[in-house]
Amino acid sequence: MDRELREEREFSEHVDRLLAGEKGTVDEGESEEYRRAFSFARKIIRLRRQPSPRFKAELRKQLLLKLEERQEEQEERSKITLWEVFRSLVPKTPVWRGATVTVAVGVLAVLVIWGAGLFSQTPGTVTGPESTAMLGVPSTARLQLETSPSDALAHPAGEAFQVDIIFKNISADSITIDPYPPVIEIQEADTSDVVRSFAQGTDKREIAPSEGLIYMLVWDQKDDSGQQVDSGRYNVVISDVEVLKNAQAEDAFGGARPLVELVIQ
Amino acid sequence: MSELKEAKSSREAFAELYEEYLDRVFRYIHFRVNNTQVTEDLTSVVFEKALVNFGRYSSDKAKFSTWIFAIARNVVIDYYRVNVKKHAVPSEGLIEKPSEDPSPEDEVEQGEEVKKLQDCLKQLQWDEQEIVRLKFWAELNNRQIAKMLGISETNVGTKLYRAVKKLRSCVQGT
Repeated sequence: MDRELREEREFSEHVDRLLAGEKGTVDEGESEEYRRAFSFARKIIRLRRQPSPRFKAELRKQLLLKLEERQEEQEERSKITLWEVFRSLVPKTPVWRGATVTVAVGVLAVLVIWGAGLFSQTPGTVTGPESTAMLGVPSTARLQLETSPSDALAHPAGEAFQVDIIFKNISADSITIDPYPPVIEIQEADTSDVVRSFAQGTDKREIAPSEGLIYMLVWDQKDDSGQQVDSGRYNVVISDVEVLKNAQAEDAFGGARPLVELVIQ
Repeated sequence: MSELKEAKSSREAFAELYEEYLDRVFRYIHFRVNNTQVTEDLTSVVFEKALVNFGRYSSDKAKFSTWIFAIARNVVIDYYRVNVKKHAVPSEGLIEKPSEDPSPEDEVEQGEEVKKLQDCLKQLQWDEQEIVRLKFWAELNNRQIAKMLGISETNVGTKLYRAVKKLRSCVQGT
């Protein structure tokens, strides 16, 4: 038993040395089984295919060119300062300039008076956020998550579940989910223990107002270590979705909630 | 001046990581798809995704190897999701003839051995398959594999040794 444990540990170390380019030899005291496994590991390493120098060089050139383009774009964007934005808003003719300044001063005056609580019946009790809410300014991008099917699904053990997750933009502006897809978890319904976690993707997707995006989730009923999970009830859960609206990060929806229940019979 | 320096260091940093990881990512994908043309395409996709998201990568959260192989795994999974249902992926050996590599006879023989190894690997459990691929083709250490698969480092060592023994028996028919 001890020998087996020692061999398991040593095997990884030996393989790592082989992969690092060392010749690697097996001690005299090792078992015949260990020697065979080690020799086979050598064979696996020999069978690996290397990329051609042509491919390496071409891809390198292509990627560095893209990197430069991206950096140039970022530099261009950073040149547009706040001052330039403000100046672009001010009209060119003197008459319109005068009108714009008058309106701006008027708005500023109203905001100062409002801030002092003079519009309120009980001065000093109206706080900033409540005022914003009264004006009806939307505070967050809105994303609604649905599934198809929406009712609980039941399958016998070993049969994969397929669920379409619909990311629906219910705001008035386009939003971008980044990264896409977000982390999706399968949790035990009773305990909320995560049995399987699907890693987030590296893409991003834009969704127009009132449009939806469908992501097909396939769960093979296995946990993160590849084992079949027990029969019972499980939930599909998305805890967080990172959303950009007008290039600003916003909260899309509040907190984790089960999207659909999956029952293994 | 500082912008220029920053741009230069970013370019250099990516170029260094490219040199360090290209071979490993290529080998990992090649073993998954067993076709050089497809491997080149998918390797390009992996590094383009890495480039686009490079600014977001944080070494505090994960090592670069863990990060890039997570991208590589997802790219291969996406590839199979889209392609495998439509048509079988051609296995090479008989259809490819790379210029810099071994003779055509060696190439065919090696292709057949890889195919046999792939067939035997498919008979292992999912986590054993992934451990073998991440160890031999991606050259990750046990700690990195453990982190990617959500199991303990000791467990990786145990499963690796057992998986290689099973593979050997299968390939050599003993």
